[in-house]
Amino acid sequence: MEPLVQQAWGWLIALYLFLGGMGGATMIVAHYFYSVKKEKALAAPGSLAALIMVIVGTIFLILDLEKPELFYLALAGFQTSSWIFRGTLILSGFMLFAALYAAGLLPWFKWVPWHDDEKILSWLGLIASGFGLGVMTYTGVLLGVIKAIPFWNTPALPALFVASALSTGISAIQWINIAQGKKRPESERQRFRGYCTLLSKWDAIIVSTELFILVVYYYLMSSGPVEAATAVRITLFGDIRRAFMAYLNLALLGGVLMLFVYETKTWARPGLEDGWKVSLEKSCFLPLLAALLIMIAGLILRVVILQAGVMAQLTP
Amino acid sequence: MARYGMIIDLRSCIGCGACIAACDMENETPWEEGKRRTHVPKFTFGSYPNVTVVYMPRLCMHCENPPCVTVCPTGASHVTADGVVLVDHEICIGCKYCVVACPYDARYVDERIRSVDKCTFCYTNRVLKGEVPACDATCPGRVRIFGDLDDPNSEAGRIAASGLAKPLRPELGTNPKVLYIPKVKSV
Repeated sequence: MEPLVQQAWGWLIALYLFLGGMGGATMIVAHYFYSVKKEKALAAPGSLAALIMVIVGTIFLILDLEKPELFYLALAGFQTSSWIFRGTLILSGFMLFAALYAAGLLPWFKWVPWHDDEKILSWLGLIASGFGLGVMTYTGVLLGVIKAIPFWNTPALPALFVASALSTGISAIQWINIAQGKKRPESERQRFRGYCTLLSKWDAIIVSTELFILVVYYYLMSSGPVEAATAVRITLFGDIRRAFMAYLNLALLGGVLMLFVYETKTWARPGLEDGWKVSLEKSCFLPLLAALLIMIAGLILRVVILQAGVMAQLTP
Repeated sequence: MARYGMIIDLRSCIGCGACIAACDMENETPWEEGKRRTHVPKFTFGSYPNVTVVYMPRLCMHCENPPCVTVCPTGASHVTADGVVLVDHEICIGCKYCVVACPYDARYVDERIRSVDKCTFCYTNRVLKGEVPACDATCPGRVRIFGDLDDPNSEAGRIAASGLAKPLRPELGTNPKVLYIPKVKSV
């Protein structure tokens, strides 16, 4: 008998889950750089990017609705038991506070009263990061509460999504960091080279954690209900095995490259150009590539999880 | 208040499909595979010469703890005082969370009305007028027995109280109000 796989949610929802998670994590990392490293050059574009990611993700969510023009009912309906209502609340809170935070940092909004006010921005960033954590977690909980699909109905799924959101968020900040460093004179650039190494270390750790959670998740599911075991089987050997293998390989390669960047201080260590015959300017290619691979892996993960939504066959 | 439900006697179903046709006519459903309020899949057990065929009419289970209602963000999916689970097409935004959450695969998107749809037990068009659902009225084998499950004088109530009919996937705690009298398999 062919597995009965949910067809209701497709690639638009996958994009939403991916962008929402990545946006939430990008906000947290951006605020870390503001509050700990006092680095506005990463916090400002980082929070703006986070906001854009979540807004674009929400647009995908709205486009997936049969009646996009009534999207406001997801909040106005006030059905507190629904995770879509709760999620909409979290998304709204995130967008509001991320926008206020970004406005306080970006040069185009000098007219806002809290512009460059460190105390207010610290609070706004903290609240926006809290909502960011909420968005990251919610994307997993949205699926995790569905009892009809045992492969989703486990705390391991939100844990996996949070880890994936963090790895993609760090990767997004890595791109911003390199872009910011590249447009600055060498005297300033060294700071960003250091951040590159730091972000690479974080990403290597988080990707390892993500893959560890994936192994535990798959182990639990393979010995779980028959539908969950079927989902594991179709991702490993069935129709979506290529997508799953693409996720696994990209995440693994991205993580290993990040570890390599961290260990060799690629882009951060001027001496590297001799040994590797790569110019200092060009050697930022590796962290950029690693970050891109991790981000693509994050998107594929959502697609795979949605496509593995095996429901129970009802038999007499 | 009544507690409407349906008994389905799998021993009598011959898979004629009259219930599907009656439902489609009564409710003007899309008449398309996967977009019907009721359907009757066929299951074959065993191998020749010991074969048993079971036709299993399927529809919304009108659960007492309906996951579709819990997950609906707008309140479009709701339960009437009689325990019938309905979808208000006016405020259904079509997020499809209920479609994913329903463990009985009873819901689908009707693109014509841009809303999720499912079996209503013909609540507004027949039951409130004192009639039984169209599928029950048309079934030639008396497979479907609609009624108040709490009423000891109704056939459905008596069968439900006897314990002869069982819910599908009771482990989920949804307490379906569509109960099945199983067919004994000869294999």
